[in-house]
Amino acid sequence: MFKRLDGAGPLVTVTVDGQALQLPGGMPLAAALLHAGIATFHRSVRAAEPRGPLCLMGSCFQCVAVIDGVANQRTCRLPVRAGMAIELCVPPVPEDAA
Amino acid sequence: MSAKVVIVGAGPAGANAALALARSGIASVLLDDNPHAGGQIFRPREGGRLPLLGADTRGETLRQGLRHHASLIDHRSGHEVIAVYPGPRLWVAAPDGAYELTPEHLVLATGAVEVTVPVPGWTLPGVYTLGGLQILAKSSAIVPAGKVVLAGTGPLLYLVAAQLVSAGVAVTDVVDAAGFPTAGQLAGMARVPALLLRGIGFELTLRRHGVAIHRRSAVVEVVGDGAVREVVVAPVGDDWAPLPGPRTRLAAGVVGLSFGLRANTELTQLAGCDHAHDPVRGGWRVRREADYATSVAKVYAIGDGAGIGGVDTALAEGTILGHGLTRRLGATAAILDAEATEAQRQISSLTLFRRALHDWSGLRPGIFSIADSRTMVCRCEDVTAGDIDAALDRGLALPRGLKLGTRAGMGLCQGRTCGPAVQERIARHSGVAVPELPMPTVRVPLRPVTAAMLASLAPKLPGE
Ligand SMILES: Cc1cc2nc3c(=O)[nH]c(=O)nc-3n(C[C@H](O)[C@H](O)[C@H](O)COP(=O)(O)OP(=O)(O)OC[C@H]3O[C@@H](n4cnc5c(N)ncnc54)[C@H](O)[C@@H]3O)c2cc1C
Ligand code: FES
Repeated sequence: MFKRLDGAGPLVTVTVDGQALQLPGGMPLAAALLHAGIATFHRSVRAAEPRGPLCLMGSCFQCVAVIDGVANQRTCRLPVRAGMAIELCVPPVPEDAA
Repeated sequence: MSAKVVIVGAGPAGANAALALARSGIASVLLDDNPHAGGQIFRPREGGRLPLLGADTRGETLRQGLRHHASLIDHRSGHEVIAVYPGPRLWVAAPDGAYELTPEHLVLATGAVEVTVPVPGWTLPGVYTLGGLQILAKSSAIVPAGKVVLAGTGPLLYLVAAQLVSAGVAVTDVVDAAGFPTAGQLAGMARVPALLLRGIGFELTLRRHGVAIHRRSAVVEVVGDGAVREVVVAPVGDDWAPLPGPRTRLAAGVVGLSFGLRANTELTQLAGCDHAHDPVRGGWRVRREADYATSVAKVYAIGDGAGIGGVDTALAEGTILGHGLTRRLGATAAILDAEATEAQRQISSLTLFRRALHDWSGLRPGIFSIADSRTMVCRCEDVTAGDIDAALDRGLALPRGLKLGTRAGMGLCQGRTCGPAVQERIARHSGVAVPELPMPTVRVPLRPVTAAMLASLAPKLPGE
């Protein structure tokens, strides 16, 4: 769905739902996942609909995923790091329950 | 921790204010949640260069200035202000923990957020805001690989379309709720010839690449199963409500959809400043004096965060604020006097430009009637337009009652995305115009915080 305009930078290994995946280190995680063909990041709270990034600027929280066991992380604000454990399609935790 | 002047937002407005202060020898702390200074417009590519996407050297100049004055400007990137209490007293979330600041003077330069309008299917993965697609291209050099339809209104629509086609992206159609600008509107925009010419340039670029432009039209449905497959386009009337008649179906894998900008008022609201509704400057905005002081002592607001005015206005307001604050702090601002006068002159012509721009592309309420009862309005809590209407029928009119009754705006984004749409529904239901309604509320902390962060702040928890 997305392509890169420049050559790939150095890749690092992360895991997405336990599977190893190579992503460009330092790139915002949301951009890196979109480029890897992943557009659904979580399921919505009540209707369990597929949802993905919308604003890419930290405002909408539609890009949240579970990162290294921490829920509700905005992937558009998070640079790709080697060894990151990413869990997708998990509904966000309601804020007042967290 | 005490710092005399704290500036929030290192975009053109905040960074320029810090620079103006530094040139008079005044130190400041400059907080911004992004990895680099420059704000929304001067966004550097993180490593490497991006061809064809409008190289503006002003961002690099700003960043160089900040580095040059590093002894006076303490620029802290990745530091996000998550609360403001009277004092003013700030909570800052930093990568390595949270901390508190109690500045003598607080300058808020938090920029704009995009306005979104709910339409059936807009929650499908593959729908992004126009600015979101621009950010992907600008900071990460990531662009859509297949067919793209861009829809909404305003200058960003044409800018992003021109940038993407120039980068080789298959933008097939642009769908604009506004019509072609009238002669009067064009005359108003000609007050700033450079900006009008830029707009004409975008239009020509789109025509050269064979992009179809649908004016006075809107995307009334996004269709797909788990991902975007096509959009349905309909003509709209004067108030931008869709008209009956034939629909056009356009294939697309990626859709850009947003309707201009509004001021990000979170921090001025938390600081307790007065606000008013000003459609020409993007809706709700903080009230200010001539020197950009707000109704709260020692709190100032500049740039798009104080009302949409664009990058040139933001830069000019930064200079003027720096000049005024220098004087307040008892230093001489001799070097800045001429600059401030020139900035003031620029702002006057930009104000006329802005009015014409609003006249052409300012949001009109009919656009919100595209949502049907099953359309998600609040994405965070899955609240549909029908849920909101039902709650309004039950008499939950005030934003607070509505929030508690439906949870609209109670989710992770705190109503940043659905705020304008919810207000528009309340207005339609109650017959009370948006400017007379209470402003959507914000609450602390602005972003979810971890227990560890709260612990690092706990000893100093201010009594609310
Ligand atoms: C997505 C998007 C794309 C745009 N693209 C263009 C364009 O291509 N061309 C153009 O002319 N105009 C563009 N604009 C408009 C442009 O942003 C403004 O005209 C200009 O950048 C305003 O400058 P500013 O300094 O007021 O705000 P900004 O440049 O937005 O800077 C505000 C800064 O404050 C930071 N901030 C906000 N809240 C907090 C907080 N709580 N804690 C810490 N930091 C915070 C933000 O992250 C941002 O870096 C765009 C706007 C948006 C929203
Ligand atoms: S995409 Fe909007 S917050 Fe990340």
